[in-house]
Amino acid sequence: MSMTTPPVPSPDGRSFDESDHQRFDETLDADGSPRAGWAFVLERLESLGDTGQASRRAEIERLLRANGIGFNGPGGTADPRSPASGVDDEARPWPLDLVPMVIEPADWQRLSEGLVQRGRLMQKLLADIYGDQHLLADRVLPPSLVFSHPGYLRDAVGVEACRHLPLYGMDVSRSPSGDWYVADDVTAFPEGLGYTLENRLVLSRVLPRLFRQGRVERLAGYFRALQALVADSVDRDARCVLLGRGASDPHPFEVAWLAKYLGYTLVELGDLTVRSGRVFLRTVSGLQRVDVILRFLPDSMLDSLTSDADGSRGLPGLMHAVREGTVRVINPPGASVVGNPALNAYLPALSQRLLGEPLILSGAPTYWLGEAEHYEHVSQRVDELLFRDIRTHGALLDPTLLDTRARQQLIASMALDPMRYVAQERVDRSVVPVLDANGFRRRQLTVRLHAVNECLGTSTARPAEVLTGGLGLLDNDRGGRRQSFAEVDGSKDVWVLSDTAVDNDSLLVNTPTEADYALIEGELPSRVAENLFWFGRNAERLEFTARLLRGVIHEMQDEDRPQVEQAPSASLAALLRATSVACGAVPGFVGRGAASRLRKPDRELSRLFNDPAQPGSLPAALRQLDFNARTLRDRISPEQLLVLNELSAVTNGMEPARLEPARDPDTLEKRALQLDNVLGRMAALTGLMHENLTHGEGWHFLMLGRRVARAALSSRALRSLTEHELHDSRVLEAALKLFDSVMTYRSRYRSRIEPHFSIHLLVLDEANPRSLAFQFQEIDRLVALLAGSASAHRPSNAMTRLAAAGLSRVRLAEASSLVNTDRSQRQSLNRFLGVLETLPDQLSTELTTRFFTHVESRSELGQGTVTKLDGT
Amino acid sequence: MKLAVSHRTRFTYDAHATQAVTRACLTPRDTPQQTCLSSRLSIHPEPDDEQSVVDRYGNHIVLFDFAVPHDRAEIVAVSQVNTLPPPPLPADCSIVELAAVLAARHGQDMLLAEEFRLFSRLVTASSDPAALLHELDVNAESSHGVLAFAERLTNHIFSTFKYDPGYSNVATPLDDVLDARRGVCQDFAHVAILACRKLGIPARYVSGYLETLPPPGVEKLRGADASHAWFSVYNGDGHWVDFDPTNNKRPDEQYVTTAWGRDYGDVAPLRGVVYGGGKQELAVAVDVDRLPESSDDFRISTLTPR
Repeated sequence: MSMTTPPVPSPDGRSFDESDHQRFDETLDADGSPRAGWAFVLERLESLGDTGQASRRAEIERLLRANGIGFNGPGGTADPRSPASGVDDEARPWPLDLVPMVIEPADWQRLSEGLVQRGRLMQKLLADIYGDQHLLADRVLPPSLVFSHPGYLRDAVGVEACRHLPLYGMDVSRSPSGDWYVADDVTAFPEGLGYTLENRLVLSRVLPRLFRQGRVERLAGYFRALQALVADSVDRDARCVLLGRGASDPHPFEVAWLAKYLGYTLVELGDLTVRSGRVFLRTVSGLQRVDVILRFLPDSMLDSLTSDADGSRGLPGLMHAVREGTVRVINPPGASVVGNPALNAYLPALSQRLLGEPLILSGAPTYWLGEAEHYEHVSQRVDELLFRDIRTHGALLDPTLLDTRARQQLIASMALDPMRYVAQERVDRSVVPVLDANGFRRRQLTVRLHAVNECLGTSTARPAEVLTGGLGLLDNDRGGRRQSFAEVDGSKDVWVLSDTAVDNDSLLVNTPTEADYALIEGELPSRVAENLFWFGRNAERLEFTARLLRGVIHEMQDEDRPQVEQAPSASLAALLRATSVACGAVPGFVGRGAASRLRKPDRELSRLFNDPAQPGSLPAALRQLDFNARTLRDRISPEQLLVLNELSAVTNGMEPARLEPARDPDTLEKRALQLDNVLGRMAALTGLMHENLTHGEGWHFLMLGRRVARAALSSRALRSLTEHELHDSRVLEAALKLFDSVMTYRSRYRSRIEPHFSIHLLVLDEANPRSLAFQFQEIDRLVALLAGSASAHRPSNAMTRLAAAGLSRVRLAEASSLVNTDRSQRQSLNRFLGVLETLPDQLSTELTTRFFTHVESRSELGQGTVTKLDGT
Repeated sequence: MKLAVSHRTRFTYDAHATQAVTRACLTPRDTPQQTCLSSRLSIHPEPDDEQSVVDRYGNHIVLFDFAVPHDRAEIVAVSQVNTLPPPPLPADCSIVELAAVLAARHGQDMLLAEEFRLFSRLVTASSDPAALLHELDVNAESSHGVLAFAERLTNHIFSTFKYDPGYSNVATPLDDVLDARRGVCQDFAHVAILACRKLGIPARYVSGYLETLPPPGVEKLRGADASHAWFSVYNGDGHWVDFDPTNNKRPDEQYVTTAWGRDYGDVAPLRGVVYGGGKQELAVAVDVDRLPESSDDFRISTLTPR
């Protein structure tokens, strides 16, 4: 039986009111009286008063930042060594409103029934599209509606796994008449889930009593169902990964947080490889089999070898692995085909046909321009309607917001390729109170809901599980336009109220504590190992830079003399030179013209303190570390984030162009304070690294990064310091201070500062954790540990040799001969340090080849040289 | 007629390729006009995995991957095919009526027709064949027969487009080909498909081979043949009819069909991703030979770089 074109919906249908002024007010009943649930929440919020509200709004911001959501921003390059120019754009704070969206039991009943029903319907549709296609062959659904959708994967037709839709979500709004309607179907992956969790976590902490007394349904049930779904029919020790987009992700926080919460390894496409029809994760201990992929990537980015791949992105061979059943992908490839907004025109009839039930929740009246009748109707009313472009996964187009040219283009494009467009009646969404600095306002809202669909399989049968809550997405602040998920500028936690007391046992666990500290347990992707290594290196770099600069400032504060330009003391000059050399901020205080810059160091110092664009400067080092932390989003604990955020705050408000008089006492004091702040926070970060992280494989890479950087920076700085004046006790004291070893020296030698003892303490003493000897001893130990754990990539002889070379060189050296005043001998300290200085970099290169070679260049077969088919 | 086809491809890398995942579409399918007697795909080095699948359109696809470092890969497809002359043209249907005729049809056959009526990645709605259609004096409301139109279109492309292997490559946009009226068989097939789809006629891209004969008295050069491409249209009544605009004829028993799809992208002989490998070089050699009906004697030519 075939179905005729769905009737052109009547634009003045009763259930949808276009009037701007009659938006449904969520806080009021049909008869205009306040709804009980809302009244309770609003009264309590109002009773907080202005200050109470302000402090809670500030608390929201603080918690979001502490949980790392402030890291949300445009991604950057995947290269952990160099932040691209764009990545340090100010991270956009996630906008969470203090007022929750309240859904009362009766409304929720209808919403959850509608959600489950629509999920079942979508499941049946998907099963048909990637199965026998009866609905298409019988023209119940226009075949071209399905075939022209970018989510229709031809390679998935006939693949059993692709006929299932385990996860389903939808955006719902409420029309002026008070009916809920569906604005969007979310079928590829549960976008928004991470924010839903985060919003709940934050709001339940900011409004703890209100949350407890309000009988708010908990979210945990859904997540348990999701975990059960993942664990379905796979071995207990199966490996599940959460596949995100990596640096290009518009919402990196979301996937990182979900991965932490659910306890799955967060991976990017480059971390995976398909070998012999199976998916593997590239780890530092070799390839590890992957059994389940929870994907947060669009269909078009999954496998570049399918016939519907969009360009060359994706994991080639993934679709084949899915077909063979060697890996489960959730949702399976091709699932977005049922997220096509055009389906709304057909769903009511399909629901009757496939489920034998009327559709509980339908979309706004919808026209698919591939139907000639619909096209005719729509072309008469372009400005009255909203348009969706199927090619770009339903991007919303409002003709009245387009300029004349763009509007003409849209109309021309509709005529050229009508199947690509869907038109929908404009339906206002309900309004909710929003609290900002100026008090309560009203904004329109859409709510995103999620469910784990029911499964009817005999061995895996389970009922549907609805997330009792959701993500409230506010309309654009200006213009009231509904926004795509990527551009959202306001969100709400959604409180589903219960008729009965809520079981507190199911309270959402506040923080994913275990996941935090299980850092790096289990498989360690090579990419993550490399990011950890560079995080360690750059943390050390930041600390060392701050130490050098603090030495400079202290020296200047001690220089008791008039503010005239004159040659600096030998110790200050030595420190300034060492800063330039060690930080790589050259020419700086070395090279041609150094003498005049030493006399008047204002400009160079201003750069080192204020200018992030100056290589080797304090803000540059901080920015680098911040970038590294972002690449490790899913592995940074809230406490570490707190410290990192405080560090960022230290350099906030710096003006690169500001030239400050270096010897001015106020400047000196301000800078000293700033450096103390940085070093204090670095001490906290270091403490957390040691005390709160599992000392596993990942930690070894992190610490190796620190040791390698400290060894290189220390030898470079020491070589520069001792190059001119080895016997100046002020220079030696500055060196001891730089290595935090003054106290040790005093207690041990109780003498004036001598070169012989100093060099012994700073270079050769294996018990001094700041000495070079200590660094090389640790490097040797860590390299040996990595050799033990990485059986598949046994470190080359070159790597262990390098580590041993450094250690034996310091062990065999004698302080007395290194500091011999004989001119030829003196060169030997310089040469000795010069050799040590190069070892860490060589070691770093060796590590990269051994462990980090995951970033292989990749190209299309036959790219650039393929010959054109030659006709004959 | 019994034809033997050998299609050899060699990729050479200037650095070690550590992994390559490849999709080959080189095995001739059975059609009403041809039977594939045998087909063998030899791959060197030995792939770690090799799987045969049938795609949405019934084409034979082989997926294989190398996980061992290699600096060259060679893929040789050798097939023997029995071909028949084309049958007489089936019943025609006017362009203007085709949409209604198609809309009344149900079943898998109709689904493929619907699919090939849609624009595709390489034949997009934004390309404009208006000049061509104007010259042919045809539009979507024409009462011309679909097949009659396809035949005229074939002739028109043959006579107004210049065959010019130097003009285009696989990346040349169809718009450029339309402007310059130059190109090779792949471009001509795409032009024809575009014109058909603009009129609502289902049209598909066919890849295959064509037997070439040297001038009398000259020995045929080895490795000098090439893969070929043409197009096929749907008559509204379950039949697809092939036309070759490059040679202005209906493919006959000298033609071997490998596969069909929406455009070249669906049936590219080899697609894949290679990791590492540095710069690539590609050499292709194709031979199509007529075999005595009883013989299976067959020579493989040497490779000539292109």
